Amino acid sequence: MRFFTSSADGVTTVRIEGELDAVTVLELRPFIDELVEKKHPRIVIDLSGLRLIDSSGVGALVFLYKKSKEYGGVVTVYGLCDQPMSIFKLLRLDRVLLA
Amino acid sequence: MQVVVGLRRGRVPPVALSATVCVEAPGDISYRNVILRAVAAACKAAFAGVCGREAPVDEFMNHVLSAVGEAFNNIAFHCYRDRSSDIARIRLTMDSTAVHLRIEDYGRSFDPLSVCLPDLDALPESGLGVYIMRSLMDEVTYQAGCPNVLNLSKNIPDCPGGPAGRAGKGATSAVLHQ
Repeated sequence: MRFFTSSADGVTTVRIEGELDAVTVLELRPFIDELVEKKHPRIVIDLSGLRLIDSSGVGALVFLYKKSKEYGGVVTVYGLCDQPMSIFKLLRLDRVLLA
Repeated sequence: MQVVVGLRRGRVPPVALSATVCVEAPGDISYRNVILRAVAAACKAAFAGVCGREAPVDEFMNHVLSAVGEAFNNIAFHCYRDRSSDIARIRLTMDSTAVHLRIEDYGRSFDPLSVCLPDLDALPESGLGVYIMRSLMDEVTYQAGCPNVLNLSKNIPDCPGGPAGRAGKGATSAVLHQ
């Protein structure tokens, strides 16, 4: 798993590539905590390069969504396909998080 | 880690009557990735052997791998929590109608069927693994013991290697060590 971040016009974009699972989520978690702590107003998560996600990865993204919402931030996801898309649909997250 | 492959051949090559693959590795979360890759390769090989065509990667494989991944997470995080991890053994059997996964561990029993299904409208951050596993597979059973045995089954799309390939008998097998 690799992730990259960029900011422009008040929007923070996070691109996550590879596999976001119970192992790799540990690398992402401190970054998510930092995003929440700094109260980024608008966070866009690009998952077009994500091949696989499991419940741990989903949990981290939902955590970011809920925490951001608490301070009035907005988190959206785009670029889902294949296995990650099927998991998002199964968990009905496509209705909440998809841009 | 050990992988064992077996094929029972039908009368019309290259279609097989059934295929069995065993994958064995420590039940430690650091082995998750290699376990999933082994199961994916086994599933593809079994599917090609039994059905005579490539597995429909877009859905069938995704569902199987998602379910196995969650099952392995449970072994690593629940069954072997607070103790040195022992073996996790996955036996994949495929015939012309379904893929069957028998997943064994020697840790604390964790029955996924006893877990309450999550309220998805509440956007839960945990407890989703069991839901994913139960939703994507057609049959889930669990038997606590030594080993604990989790059985997952998923029906496969129409397989031309079904009745026509059932008449013949014979067997080939191979054992691969890694």
